[in-house]
Amino acid sequence: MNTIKTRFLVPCALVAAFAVTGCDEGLFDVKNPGRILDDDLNTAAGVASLVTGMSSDFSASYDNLAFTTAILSDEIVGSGSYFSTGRYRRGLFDSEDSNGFWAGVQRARWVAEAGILRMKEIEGYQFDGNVQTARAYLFAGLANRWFGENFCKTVFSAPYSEETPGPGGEVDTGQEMAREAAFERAIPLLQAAIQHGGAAGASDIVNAATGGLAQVYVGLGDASSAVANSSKVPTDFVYAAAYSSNSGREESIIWNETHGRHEISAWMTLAGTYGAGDPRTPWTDCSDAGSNCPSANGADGETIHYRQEKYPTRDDDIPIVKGTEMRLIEAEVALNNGDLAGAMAKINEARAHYGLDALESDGTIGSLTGGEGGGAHPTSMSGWDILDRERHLTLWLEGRRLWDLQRWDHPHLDGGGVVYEATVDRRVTCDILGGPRHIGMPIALDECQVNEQVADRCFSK
Amino acid sequence: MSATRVSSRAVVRTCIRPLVAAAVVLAAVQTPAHAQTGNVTGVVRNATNGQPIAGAQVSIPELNLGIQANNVGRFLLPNVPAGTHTVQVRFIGYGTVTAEVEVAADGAVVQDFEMRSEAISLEGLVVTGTAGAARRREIGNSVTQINSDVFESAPVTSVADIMQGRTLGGTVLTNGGQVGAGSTFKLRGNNSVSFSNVPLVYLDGVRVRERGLIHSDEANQQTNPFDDINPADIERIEVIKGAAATTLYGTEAAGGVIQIFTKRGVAGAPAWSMTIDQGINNLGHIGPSPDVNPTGLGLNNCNFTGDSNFSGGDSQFPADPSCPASGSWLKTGRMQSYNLSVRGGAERMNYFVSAKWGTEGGVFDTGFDSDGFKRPDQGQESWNLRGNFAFSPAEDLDVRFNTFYAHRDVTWVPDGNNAEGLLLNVFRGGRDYTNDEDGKLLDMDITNINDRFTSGMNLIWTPMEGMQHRLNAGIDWTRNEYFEERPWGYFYVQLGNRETDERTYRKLTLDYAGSWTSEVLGLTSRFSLGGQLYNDFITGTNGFGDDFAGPGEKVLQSGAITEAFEVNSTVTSGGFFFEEVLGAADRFFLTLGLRVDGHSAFGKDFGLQSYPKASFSYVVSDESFFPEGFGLLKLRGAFGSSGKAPGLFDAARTWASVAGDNGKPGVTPDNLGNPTLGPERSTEYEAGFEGSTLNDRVAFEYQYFYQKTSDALIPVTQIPSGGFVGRQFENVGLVSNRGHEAFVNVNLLSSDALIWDVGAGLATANSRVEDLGVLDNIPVGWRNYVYAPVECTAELSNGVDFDGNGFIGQGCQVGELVHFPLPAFCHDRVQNPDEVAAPRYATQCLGSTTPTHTYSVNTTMTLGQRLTLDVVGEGMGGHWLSSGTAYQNARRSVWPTCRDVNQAISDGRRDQLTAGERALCDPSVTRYGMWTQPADFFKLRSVSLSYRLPQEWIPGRFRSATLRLQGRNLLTFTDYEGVDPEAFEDGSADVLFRQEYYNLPPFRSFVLSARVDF
Repeated sequence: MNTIKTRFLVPCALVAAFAVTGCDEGLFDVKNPGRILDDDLNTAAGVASLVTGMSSDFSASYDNLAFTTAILSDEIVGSGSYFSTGRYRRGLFDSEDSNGFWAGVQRARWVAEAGILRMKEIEGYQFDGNVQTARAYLFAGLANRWFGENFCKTVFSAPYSEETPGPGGEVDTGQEMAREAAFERAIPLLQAAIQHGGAAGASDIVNAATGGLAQVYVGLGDASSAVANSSKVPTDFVYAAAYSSNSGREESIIWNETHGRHEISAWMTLAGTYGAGDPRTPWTDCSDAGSNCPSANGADGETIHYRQEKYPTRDDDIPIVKGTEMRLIEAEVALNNGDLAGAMAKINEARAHYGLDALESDGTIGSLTGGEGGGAHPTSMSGWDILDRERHLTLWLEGRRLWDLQRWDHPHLDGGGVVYEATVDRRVTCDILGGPRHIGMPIALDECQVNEQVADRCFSK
Repeated sequence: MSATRVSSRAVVRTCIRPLVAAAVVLAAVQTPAHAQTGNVTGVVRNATNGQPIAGAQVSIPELNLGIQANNVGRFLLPNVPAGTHTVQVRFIGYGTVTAEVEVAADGAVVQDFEMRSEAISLEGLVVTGTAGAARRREIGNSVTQINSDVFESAPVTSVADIMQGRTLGGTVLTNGGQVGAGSTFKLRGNNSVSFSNVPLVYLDGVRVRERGLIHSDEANQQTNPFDDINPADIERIEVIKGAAATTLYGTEAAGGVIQIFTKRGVAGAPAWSMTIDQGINNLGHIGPSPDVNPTGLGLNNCNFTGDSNFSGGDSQFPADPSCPASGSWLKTGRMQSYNLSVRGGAERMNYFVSAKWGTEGGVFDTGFDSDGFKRPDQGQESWNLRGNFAFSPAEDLDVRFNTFYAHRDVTWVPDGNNAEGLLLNVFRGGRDYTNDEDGKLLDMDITNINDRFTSGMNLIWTPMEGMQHRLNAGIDWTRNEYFEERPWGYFYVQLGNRETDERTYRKLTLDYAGSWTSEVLGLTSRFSLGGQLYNDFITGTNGFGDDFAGPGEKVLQSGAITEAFEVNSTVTSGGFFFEEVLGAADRFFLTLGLRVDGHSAFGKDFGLQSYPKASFSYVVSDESFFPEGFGLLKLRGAFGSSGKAPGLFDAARTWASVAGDNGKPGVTPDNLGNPTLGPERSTEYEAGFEGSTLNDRVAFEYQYFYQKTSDALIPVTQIPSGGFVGRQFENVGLVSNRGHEAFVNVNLLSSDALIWDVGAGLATANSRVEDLGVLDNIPVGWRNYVYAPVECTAELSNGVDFDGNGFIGQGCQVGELVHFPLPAFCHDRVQNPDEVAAPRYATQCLGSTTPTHTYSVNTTMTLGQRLTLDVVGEGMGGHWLSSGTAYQNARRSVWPTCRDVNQAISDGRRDQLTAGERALCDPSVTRYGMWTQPADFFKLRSVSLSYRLPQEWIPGRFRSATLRLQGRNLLTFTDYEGVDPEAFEDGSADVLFRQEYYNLPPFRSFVLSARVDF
């Protein structure tokens, strides 16, 4: 028996001892450098990275929104082989399609809003009057503008609570809200950006936040507040989402989908017809022998590739607040007030910025008539059709057209389709969410799956 | 001791010791009886092909005498007491044979043996899934053993070739036709929603990387380290399939375990073996029938010269000015390989050493670039070396070293779901990215370089009868370098770019098991205890260089824009176990065991995980009440658990570093974290039987299994409006999987003149989702979903079945639960196919994306122990496959079977078409789901003929010479209308998702091989 003990139990005991001593915390520690633990962000020195992250998250999703809403609004035509663009160009866009876009705007919004709450609590960080604080508020405000303009409904589950309400007293409950809630939410954030930016001497942030306020007041239908803010922004001012060839995440997807690939084309769109030669809507006809394009057609093999040149490199930023848009906001308010001459003056002020000749209206304010190829009437010289066309071309590929079509209840939305026939009566409809004449991206399926309060607010097509 | 038993200690010893040493020892021990003894000598051969069986264990159990046949099958049992004795010969995978010999004093008896490989050999040893070596009769779960003699009649080129059609319950999908691309292995289908369903792989006791290496986004393939193993080095493969069998392997073993054993040395003078293989690869007609597709989608014929049905050429696939001079993008690829091995040994030491070099050409003609230079050929060059050494430094200690090194260079062409893929552009005719000059794509270089080193040491200490300690330690080191370059001036990216991806994978194994066999209250007891520690380290860098300044050879920094990423991770897992095997009367065995595991990826609050097991085995045919003459019958049942660990950082809340504002550092939410995260647990019940009857001429096996994966790790979407977007793994899911497995092997004829075996196997695996927590579904790939059960509605039940192949929920009773396979294809399908109208669509889930049943048939016929014909066929079915190729071509009006509809539309007769016709072929309304079809297929995997030359035909210095001819992947039978029912756009990517999308279909091969032993 002693032999057995020696020959069996001793080795086994060694194994058992190894198991016991080996199972300490160190043995199974994860070793994978590169991640940052949440608590490690609570330092004053880390605020700059936190705010750059807000900018990065904004840019990382905004280009995809601009790319996709360009297809949905026929600003540009989907000419590729992606299954999704095939759906979008038929006007099909449902809650599942919305997943990525919903996540993108929610992340951009939350990262900035929650970051502001975190920054307030960081010991040693000078919150007030700090340019980083101002930028954080700016991104929070502009992300909410983006949310309100492009989605049928809004939902906020964080970061505001009873203990830490938002700057406008918001408490996030996860309930469905009208898109105006995002505009309302943006106002105190942008005002705070102006306050802190002004104190820090950051005029670009002040101008951007002021322009952002004008945009959200347009969203709320508050013309006087919109003009009161837009008038403070110079015509040549531009604040843009930053893109760069520094890293893959920073590259603009619009560049990649038009220059790297052939997934969207300006062919037969307003930009591709009326906008030919317009500095606001530059493009190259890839079917021209000297175009130096890899192929003449889009990835679908049949749509001629009119390659956009507004963003000819990976590094080209996408404007999100522009002085020229401010002039067009003022023109729109003027038209609503029956002031055609005032409106044309503002329109021509914006055109002059691009070196374009002044336009002369036919003397009528008129109403939106719409037209083939992208919705704005290409030749009508009534006040509203001119404004429609000018906004279309001035804000081309900036993620704004879908909102204009919605808020104007544009005739183009009753059908359209540049290359393929639309298969739904009304394109990009919010369907059950907003009534038959309400368009935008719906609440995402991912939200409906896990947020019981909106469980029945999604749909598929 | 019974006449049929040899102690494990004796077995181990005989496995190691050389013939001469044993003879000397036995002679010394039995010197007093020398005058009363004689010798028994002879040769052990394979009854089927006449080849010697090196290492066969020859013994006279009643005398406790044993010896091992040497490296040419010869044995000598010296000093056998005069008299009549029964000599027994055993070898793993072969049926035990015995012969009575009459030994005369000072006489020598010559007794040769012929052994037949057996699918079911209850006395055969199995080491996979048990704490130590166990006889098959003791094991309560199913085990598949594939012995080298089964596959050596054909010149197989990879482990996949060996396992295809020979692994009951296993699916080996070839995926595509790029030489060097890996296959997909699965055992019993899918049981995990979120993690790999690939089995663990051990090579001579060392855990090795089981998954593919760097994925090429341009070739849409990845190499698989499995293919680095030289099949000529393999002695046998053992496969265990479910949690009931893999419990002792713990966390990560729920997908099964494959253990590969390579050849070992045997005592004797050096025995050399040399094999020369020469062969070709080619592809036949591609796509729909030549009647409508005379050019094979432009691949077979890229320089259309006319056809009686297509006078003036085919407008869908016009002549391509970059078409190779041969008029086809395809060519016959040549393959060659040379293998040399030697085995032998001396007292207390033996060795097996092998070397192999080979090249294999692909089927694409890569032609010449615009400067007239020959582009690199698609294909691979590989070589590998192996040295297995064993020695016995002491009577009771055996030491083995197994080392292997492999190197492989693989060159691919762009393929699959890729705008620059060759097939994508060729198949789309003029509707492509290249303005129909597809040769431009071949200017892109795609290269893999793989280096692999696997080395292990096995210590076996047998301090006394019935007791054994085994210690394995080893390293598996794999380095994969991937290069992808678009040269300066490349048509698609004019300034060119380059990517390099270098990854090193290192797995360390430390594995101990001790067992002690004893008698307890009249029962045999084998108590085992052990533990393992595995360390998995991955490191690497991935760099990009964009925009070159000019032509020439490049490195990353040649690009004006560079970017780099680093991968660096370590995962440690380990555990310990105990197992008790109780045996009664050598016919009833009860096994109880428990394993306890820790793992790096478990949450901090989770702790250790325990996995129990229990099984029984009952050799009922040994009972006196059992009908005499029936043969062998073993009943068995098993229960066990194992797991799958979550991902490395799934438990921690983290942020990721990103850049913003043009290169400034920033952070973005990464992972929400879950401190209670643990592994998902697979619990399996298995019951079945196995045996043989009719004088062992019919071998059979059957089992039913039921697996339940609880606490399944489901990537639960966090409330997006909560801002920390993304998914967090939670242990909330429940997945079940059940199936039947059966095979029968019949020896129809058995004589010296003709041996004819026929076998067939059938395995089903129906995995389905029982619960997904709060989620309704999880998308796992393009229109591939993991769906939670839904309540049947009238709308679901009464949906229109477009093509008669059904859909999930069709005809269900309103209110009942409808379950979905894991995963399912869910697509838009036309609902008014017969109306002359625009199509109306509804989303329908069609079926599983992975095969739910596999079946195989094989036959082996040997004439005169020389000429052997071996045929293996395999079928899979029950699954669906989307043909992205057909859909995307239909969208472009270039799918051959849509010609009539295209013509009608062109003629302005669209409004006369039915919705069904339009849904399939009208570019403006066709949907992906219309091209998703059942993908059942049967393939003739292999037909081989081998001939062992008569001794008088070969020079005297050669022991034997064999010629072999094999054809692989010869015929496909399927109704699937895409390019190939086995193709997968992402190669061997370890994902649930499957879809065919412009990837080269598997090619066929013919190999002529000559082998000489000397």
